[in-house]
Amino acid sequence: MEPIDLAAGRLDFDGVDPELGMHLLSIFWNRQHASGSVVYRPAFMRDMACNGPNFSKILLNTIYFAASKNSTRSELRCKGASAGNIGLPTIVSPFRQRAEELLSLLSSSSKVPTRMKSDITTIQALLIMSDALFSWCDERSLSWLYSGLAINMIVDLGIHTDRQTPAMKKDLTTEDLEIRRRLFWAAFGTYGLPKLE
Amino acid sequence: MQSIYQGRPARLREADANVPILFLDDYEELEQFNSLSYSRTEIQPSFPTRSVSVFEQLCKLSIIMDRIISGIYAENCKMRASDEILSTARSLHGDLERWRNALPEHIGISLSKSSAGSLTPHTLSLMYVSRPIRSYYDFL
Repeated sequence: MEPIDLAAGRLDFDGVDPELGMHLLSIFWNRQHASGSVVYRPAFMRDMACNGPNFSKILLNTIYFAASKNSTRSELRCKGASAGNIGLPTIVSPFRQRAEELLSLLSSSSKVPTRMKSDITTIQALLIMSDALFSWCDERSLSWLYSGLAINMIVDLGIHTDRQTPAMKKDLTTEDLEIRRRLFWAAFGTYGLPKLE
Repeated sequence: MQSIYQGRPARLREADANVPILFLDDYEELEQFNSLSYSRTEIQPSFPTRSVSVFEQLCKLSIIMDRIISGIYAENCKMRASDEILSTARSLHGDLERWRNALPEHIGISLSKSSAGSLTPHTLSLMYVSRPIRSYYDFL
């Protein structure tokens, strides 16, 4: 379905050129093998074409951000990086800026103090952001806080247990179960592993 | 995993969770490995990615790491008798040995084996993570 949705222009790249967007997504999917499957590709890509629940722009931009450090394309190098320090912290990465802007929009609104709500795509985005900042940008405090928020959301949504009782109001499809299990194990230990850069 | 690097308590604990290491979609297990972003020029290696089984082994290893953090590095460990900690460490060492011995053949953790021909970056990561933990226990 991915190539068909791409050809039909159905995939939402959040304003990024589709060719670049696909390049970054491909890197992310290929790199994800090394750190556990935090994002379940079939569900994400399907929902990217129809704005479904397994897709969000926060997650998309976080994926762009994490993938851009492993791209050899010159346009993705951070501004100010000289030939000697290619790949050093991309504090000015537009993808990181966009992801964090969207994240802060989630947590602020004029009507209520906060409307942040636990959501699987937000958990995935927080874990990926936490990993990218920890192993790359050396912002260890922020990285720790992001993963802490992700883990609190995991417990909030009951992803830490397969048990299903009526009180938990879990009505899960097989695909939901797969997404949740992969996410739990990625958060439990496999995410944030040292990786080949 | 961050916890062990930063010397901080883990926030998701084995005892608080109940999720089987059981994945239903195994497409990525036999999907051909792709060198994208690992190599400047695209090469087409013809071996399977084995992503699912590596993920499963990482999950099992991370459970042992959780036990290491809580059994040896917990803040209250200083108050425990040293022979008690030593016996915990020996038991964890046994867990690690069993984990290693039970690794599927294709993960090829030993570089001397002929299976090293299909080493993937994620298998290397697995080896990289398990080595320091193992050498620490040899020291104990």
